[in-house]
Amino acid sequence: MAKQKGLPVAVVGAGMIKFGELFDQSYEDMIVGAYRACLKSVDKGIDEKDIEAAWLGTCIPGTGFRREIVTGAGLAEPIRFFPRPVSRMENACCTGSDAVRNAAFAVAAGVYDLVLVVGAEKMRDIPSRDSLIAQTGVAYHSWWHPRGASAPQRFGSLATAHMDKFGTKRDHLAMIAVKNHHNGTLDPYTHFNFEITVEQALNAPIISWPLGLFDSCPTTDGAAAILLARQDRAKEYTDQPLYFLGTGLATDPLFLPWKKNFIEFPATQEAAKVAYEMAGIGPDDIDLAELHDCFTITELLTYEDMGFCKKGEGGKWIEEGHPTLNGTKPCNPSGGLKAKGHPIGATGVAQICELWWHLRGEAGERQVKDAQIGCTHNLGGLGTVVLVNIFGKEPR
Amino acid sequence: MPSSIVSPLCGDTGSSSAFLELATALDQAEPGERILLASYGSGAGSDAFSLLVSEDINAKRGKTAPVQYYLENKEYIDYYTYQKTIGLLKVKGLPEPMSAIVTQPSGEREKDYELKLKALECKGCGSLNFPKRHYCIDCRGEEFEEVPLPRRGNIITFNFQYVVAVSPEQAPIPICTAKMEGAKGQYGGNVSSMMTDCKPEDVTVGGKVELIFRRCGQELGLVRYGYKFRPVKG
Repeated sequence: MAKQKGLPVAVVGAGMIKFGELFDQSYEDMIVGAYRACLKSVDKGIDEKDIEAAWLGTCIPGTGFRREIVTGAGLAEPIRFFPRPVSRMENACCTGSDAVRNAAFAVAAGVYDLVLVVGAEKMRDIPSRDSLIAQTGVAYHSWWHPRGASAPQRFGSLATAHMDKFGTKRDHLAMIAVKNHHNGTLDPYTHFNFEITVEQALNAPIISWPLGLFDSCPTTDGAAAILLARQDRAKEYTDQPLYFLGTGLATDPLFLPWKKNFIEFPATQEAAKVAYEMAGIGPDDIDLAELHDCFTITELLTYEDMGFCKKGEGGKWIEEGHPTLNGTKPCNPSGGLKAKGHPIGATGVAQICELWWHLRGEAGERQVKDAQIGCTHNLGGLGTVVLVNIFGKEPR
Repeated sequence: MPSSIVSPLCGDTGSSSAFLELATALDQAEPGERILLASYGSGAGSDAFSLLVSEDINAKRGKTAPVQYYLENKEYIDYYTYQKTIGLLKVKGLPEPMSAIVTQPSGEREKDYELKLKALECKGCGSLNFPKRHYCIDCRGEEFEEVPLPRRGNIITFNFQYVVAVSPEQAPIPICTAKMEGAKGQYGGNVSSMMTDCKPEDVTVGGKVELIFRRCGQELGLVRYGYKFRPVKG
C-alpha cells in the first residue's frame, strides 16, 4: 500500500516526435528530437545546465535494432549530457512509465531538483516478422518455446475466455480499434492517421484468433521526453505544471499457465488501487485515461480492472460509447498504441505527453473538456508488470 | 497365431514399421504370451526378437492411445499438404523459425519436467506446480512431493495461431490452456501447449484434452521433442 500521499514532483515540460516508420532517423536522432521538443515546451524557458540527472527508457535494443547494450550513454552521448548521471530502465512495456516513476522517486527523495526522462525505441529497422513475433521476449519458459507462444497468442487466450464467460464479441474489440483509429486522426503524432470501420476490423486477416490485424498495435519507431521538477520549484518553469498525484506498480506471473484466470489482469487492479490511494481519488475522478491497448482486448479488460466499469461489462461499456472522445470517460484520446504506435520504451512517456496537452488545454480538436486529472496505464508481459501513474492540474 | 501386421492399413512406414507392429501386438497381448518380432529391409539385413509379455503390461495399458486409435482416425491429405507438413516445401513470406533464445542446455536441465512430465505437488496447499518451481505458485510453500503430471485435462481457454514462428506451414495452429484432471491450485494445475491431431472446430472451452509426445520444432540442427495437447475423442 502506498505510504505516501502524492509525490512532491511536477512535470514542467513534455515533448515527443511524430511516431512512425522512421527510416530517416537513427535512435539518437529520435532522442534528440524528443529532447528538443520537450525543452521547447517549457513555458518560461530552461537552462539545460540545470538538469541534474536523467533516465533513459529503452526496452529491446537487442531484438529491436540489433544493439546488444544500451547504457545511460545512449542518452548522454547524443545530447552531450556527460558527465551527469543517466540510468537506463528496462521493464517490458512499462519501461517508459517506470523510468518516469524512478526519476520522480529521486526528485521526491530530495536528491535532485530537476531531472529529464527520455523514452525511445527503434523497432522498424528490422522486418516486423523478425522482431517481436519471432522472438521469445514474450515466451520466456522453455516449456513454451517450441510451441507457438507469441504476444497475440497470449492476449488472444484472454479474449477467448472473456467471450466465453461474459458473451463479449469480436465486434466489441473492433469498436475499440475504430475509436482509437478515429482519435488518431486528430493527433499529429500518430503512426497511423486513418479511420477504419467495424467491418474492416472484423474482416481483416487473423493474427491469432480471436485477434485480427486491427486488434493489434503496430511496431513503431519513436521517442518522447519529459522534465520533472521539485513541486515547490515547478512554477519557476511554468504556471501550468502537471502534479504527480500517484503511482502504482504491480507484478503477476508471466508464464501463461501460471495465471490466476484469463478474464482479468490482477496487476492492473493492484497498481490502480495503490495509485488511486496515493492520489486520494477513485476511478470516478479520472477525466481521461491513456490505456495500454497493445491489443484491443487489453483495453477492454483495462476498463474493468481500472474500475471504470464492472468486471464483465467492458463490451457493453464501449458499445455505449463511454470511452470515446465525447463519452463519459475518454480513453486513449491520443489514438492509443493502436493508432499512435508502440515504440516500447517511448510509450509510457508519450502517454504523459498526451496528459500534458489535455490538462493544459492544448490538445486541439481532440481536447477533453475541463480535464483536471488524467492517468496513464502501462502493461508489460501478459499483465506481468503494470504501472499506473496519475497526474493532475492541482497538487494533492 | 494372431498377426499384428498393419502395413496393409497404413502403407510402408519404413524403419518404424517393426515397432508399429510390436506396439499393435502389445496393445492386445496378455501376460505370459510370447511375441515374435521379425523384420527385413531391402535384402540387406534381417533381425528377429523373441519377447515374453510380463505382468506389468496391464499397468502400462491405457496410458497412451493404442495403434488402433490412429488407424481409425486417419486423415487423407494431398501431396502438397504432405510436403508442407514435413517441411519439404518452403512457404514464402512466413516467419523464420525461432532463434535459439531457449538453449539446448535449458532443454537438458528441464528434461524431467518437459519430457518425463514430472510435476511438484505442494505439501502445504496441494497446488500442482508445473514445470519446476522453488516456491509454490499458490501458497509460497517450499516443500513439494514429486508426482506425475496428469495427462488429461479440460480446456480453460484457447486460440488459433495464424502468424506463428514454429511450424508456420501448419497454421492455423490451435493453442490451449487446460486445467489438468485432479490438479489442485488456483494459479497452479494448468498446462498450456500447442494442439495437434485436431481441427479448430474440435476445440471448445471445457473440452477434454490429453498430452501426447510430439516433435515440437528444430533449433540449431537439433530436433526438439515435447508434448502437445490433442482432444480426447469419444
